[in-house]
This record gives sequence, structure tokens and C-alpha cells, in this order.
Amino acid sequence: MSKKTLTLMSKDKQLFNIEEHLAVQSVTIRNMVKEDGASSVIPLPRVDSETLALVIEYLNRQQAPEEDEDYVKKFVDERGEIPTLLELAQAALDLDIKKLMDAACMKVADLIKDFTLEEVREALRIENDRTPEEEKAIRDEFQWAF
Amino acid sequence: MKLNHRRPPAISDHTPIGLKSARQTSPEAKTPADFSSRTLTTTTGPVLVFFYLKKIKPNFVWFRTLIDPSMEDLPAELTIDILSRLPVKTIIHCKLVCKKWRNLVLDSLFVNLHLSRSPIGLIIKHYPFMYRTNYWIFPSYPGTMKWVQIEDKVDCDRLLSLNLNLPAILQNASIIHMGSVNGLICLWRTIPALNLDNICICNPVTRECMILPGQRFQRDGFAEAAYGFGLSSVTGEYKVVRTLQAKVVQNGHKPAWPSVIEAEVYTLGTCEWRNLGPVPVTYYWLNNALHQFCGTFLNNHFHWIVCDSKDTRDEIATFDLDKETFQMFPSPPESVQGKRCHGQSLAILKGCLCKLGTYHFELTIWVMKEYGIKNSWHKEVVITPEICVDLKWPLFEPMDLIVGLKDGSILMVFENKFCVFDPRSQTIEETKMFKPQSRGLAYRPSFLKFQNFGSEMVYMF
Repeated sequence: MSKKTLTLMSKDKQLFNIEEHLAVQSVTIRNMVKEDGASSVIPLPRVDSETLALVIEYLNRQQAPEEDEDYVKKFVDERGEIPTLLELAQAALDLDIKKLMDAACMKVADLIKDFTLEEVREALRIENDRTPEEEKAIRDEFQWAF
Repeated sequence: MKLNHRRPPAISDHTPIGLKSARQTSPEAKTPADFSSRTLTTTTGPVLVFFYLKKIKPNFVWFRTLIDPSMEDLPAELTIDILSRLPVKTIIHCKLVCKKWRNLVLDSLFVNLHLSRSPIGLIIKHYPFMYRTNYWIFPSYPGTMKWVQIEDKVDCDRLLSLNLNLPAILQNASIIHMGSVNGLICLWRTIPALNLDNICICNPVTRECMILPGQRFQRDGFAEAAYGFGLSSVTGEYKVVRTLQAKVVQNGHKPAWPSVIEAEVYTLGTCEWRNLGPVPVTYYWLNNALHQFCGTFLNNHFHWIVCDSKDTRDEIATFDLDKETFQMFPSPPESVQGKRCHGQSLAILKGCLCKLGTYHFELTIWVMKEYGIKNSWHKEVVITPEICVDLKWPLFEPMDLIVGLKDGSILMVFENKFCVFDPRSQTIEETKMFKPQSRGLAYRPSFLKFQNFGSEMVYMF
């Protein structure tokens, strides 16, 4: 008996097949399946193919429940680059896959927690829109933390 | 500028390991996004992309994030999630990263998420000098307050402590901490010389502090106050309750035991104490140990160790935060038959109420497995000189039971020591890290702002 499969479409219009019982780990997909049976292709306009491939790899994992936590941790550890992790976290957020999102966010937090301000900005590509005066005001307000 | 790095062309034959499902390339794969990432690698690419982008939004940051998504690109929800997992100090540093982050840290979504993840720590309050009268023990100066961060497991060598300077308005007062909820600390401030007696609520992380108005019943002569600070899970209100027991002279005769107990309640945000009238019970608060005046908060109730009117045995009294009523509560059987208990305290261990008692040569922890069920009191821990030779036997001082850690060990503060008891190996590890006369209190740091408390006067420190 063949299991029912779903087709997911990434932002760049690539198609990915996945067995339905695995795909419904995503609450978003589960709700779609419930609503209309999701016979057609499910478009994921914010997830690129590279990230979707990772998500599918994650959904296809076959771990015993007691090893699952370690697996998820290892899974994100192996993709330790911040941009990849952010993409993964965003995809997990859109698809509502809590475990994956938690693990990816935790990993990003772990990576940036010992960074200097400049390093944080660089790693996450953020423009510094603060004036030195504003910065000083915050440093003064929270003296104990600096 | 590095363009297109870490981003292979969208159409790729690369199949990640473990990918089992079939992949197909759809015929209409050439999309604008794909177009940009491919053409950028050619010499004409940047020009084309420039015009392409200009049509939409000629913004440098936007342009960059198209190539490599960053936090700018991420939904606030995700940024909040990541920030909420960082240590408190790092979060404060992150306020400097950009304006958006600063605002996110103030967002109530962030505050609540952070609170739910904030690891438990300790507030250590050091009383530099205590003077003892027949009826009361006073710290003579405000003392210092330190915050000790604890990871999931206590590694005594890697404890991080930092000084939390007390607000200037508390500098010349005697300060006793009376409880902590959601990162807010309830402090009892007294300045006997100025006849000042107030409760202060402060959040050492956001540096906000408010001083509650004086109660209607003031301490006068021989009277003792007991406090509780908690959060109602029903109404979401923060409340402070104070009971004041006094010996009222009748017929020129002062009774041996307190003859009247009055109770007052303060709901944060209302700016006034409400009088609950006389408490219809016949117990009283023991008057020789500071921490017994600080109610342990669990299950919407405060719990205090009290004495019956003949001083024959200890009982537990509770105050229901929502109904605002007092009641007696089942207490554990006598710990050590026929032996005098030197100090006792209540605490919460793995969500259960527990009672800790120190005797001459024994320290016991009783745990109430099912809340409110007398038979569920269970003697969980017994520490004797055989288990821990180094503890200063015989024990006379009470011990503060702080918190049960994830690995099952129990954290306590005893005099100037930090003790971690491991129930599996039945061993106790001690670290001398405080000055004598220190007291500990479980504390979970938060970014909770006082703006929710309406018209209360808030001081920054």
C-alpha cells in the first residue's frame, strides 16, 4: 500500500514530495490538510528550496522518541551557520514546527551570546542606527550590566 | 561587498543527505528572486539588479537582506524568540544593537516569553549587622544584595554573582526581603529614627522601584508584621498582604501572647491598603526568625509557619490571595520526636510545598506531595553529621531552602555557605561564598515594567 504523499513548493518553485503522515508534524500543513485535503501543491512562498530541503530532511527523520531531542539538537548543530539557522527558524515558524524552531533559535542564541555588539550586528547584518549619545544613555541606565 | 555568498543558485542538483522524498524542478522555476541571485555573479548583474530593485525600494539594507536574509528580514516573533533565550546581561547589551531591538525588549510579548524561559537564580541579601531585641531582629544597614545566576546544574566554581546596587532611597534604611515573584522583589524598609515603615517593590533588572504608602496600622511598641507578596493566577493582580500582631494592654495588663492580629492588603496599581479587619485565628507568628515573616507563595496562597497560642507546636497558616481569607493548613508530623527545632522555613521544591527544619544533629525536609493533603507529607531528606561532617554541628541557625534543580539536587543557603545536596549520592557540597548573616531567596529575573501598575509612583535607580 502506498502512503499518501503531499507536494510542497518552495519560493523558487521547486517541488518536494513528502509523506503526509510526516508532513503533518507541521501544524500549518496539518491545518491545510484538514481543511481541503490538500490534494494540490502546497505553496510555501517564504521558504527557499535549500531550506525546504533541510526541513524535509528533518521531517523525514526516524528517531525513537527518547532520542529525538538529541537528534534535533545535532541536526541544528550541523548547520551551525547563522544565516542557515535563521532561514531554518523562519521556515519552522511559517510551518509551525515548534521543536525545530526552538532548536534553531536556541542555537542562534548560543552562538551570539558571547558576541560583542559589533559582532552581533555583523553576524545578523544589522545597521547600527544608534547615535553615540543614545548608546551612552543606555549604558548609563544599565551601568550594572556593563 | 560580498554578494550572493552562502547562497548557491536556486536550481541545484545538490540533494542533502537523508532527503528521501523526490524532488522535481518545476518548469516555471525562473522567478525574479532566482534571477537576481544568478545574475549577480555576472558582470552585468549588479546593474540589472540595481534597476530591478530600484523599482521596488532603493534601500541598501533591503537590498542586502535580499541577498542574505538577516534579522532585519526576520519576523519580530523570531527575533523576540532568540533574544528571550539570551542571558539577562546580554539582552541588555542587545538593546544597543539597534532601535528595533531596543523596542522589542520593551514589548510585552518579549517580557512574557523571557519570563517563561528565565532560569531560576538567587538573590543573596547580606545583613551586615543584626541587633536583637527581645522581640525583634533588625538589620542595622540596608546591606548588599547580590544576584547569583544558576545554570541548570550548580557548578559551585562557576557561579556568577553580581552586585545589584540598592536604590538610593533605600540606602539609610533597614531592608529585609519579603519575597519575589516574576522578577519583582518585595522589600520591607524601616527607618526607625524617622518612624518610616514601608514596603518597596523593585525590579533590579529594569531598575524600577516603587514605595507603597504606609499602612493604616503602624508598628507601635511590641508588634510584629508578617508579609506575603504574590501574583493571583485568577485576576493577574500582584498583591502584598501584611498582618500585624500586637499585644494590646488591657486593664493595665499586657498579655503574654499577641492579642490582636490585623490584616491589610495592597493590590499593586491601586495606591492604597485595604483593611481586612481582625484575623479570626488564635495563632501568632514566631518572633525570633526573620524569614518566618515572609510568606511562601504557592497555589495562590501564602504560607507561614505560626505557633498555636500555647507555643506547644508549630502550625502552618495560609492566606488565600483571591478570597482574601486566612486558614490553618495541614502541617507535617513532628520531625524529630521530642527534640527542639532550632529553625524552620517553608519553601517550594519541584512545585510542592516543603518544610525544612534544623535540629541539633539533624536537618530534615518534608515535602507535601499533593497540595493540601495532610497524608501526603513525606520526609524526603534527612541530613545528619554522618552525611555531612563539615556542616557546623550542632545546628542552631535556620537554613534557607532555595530551589530544586533539574538534576534533582537541592540548593540551600546556610549562614555563609551555599549547600547543594544530591539525594542520589546522599552527599552535600558546600561553597563558602557569602559573608555571615546572609539570606537567600529564589529569584527569577525578568524585564517586567511597572507601567502596568497604573498610577503608582515609580523611581528609577
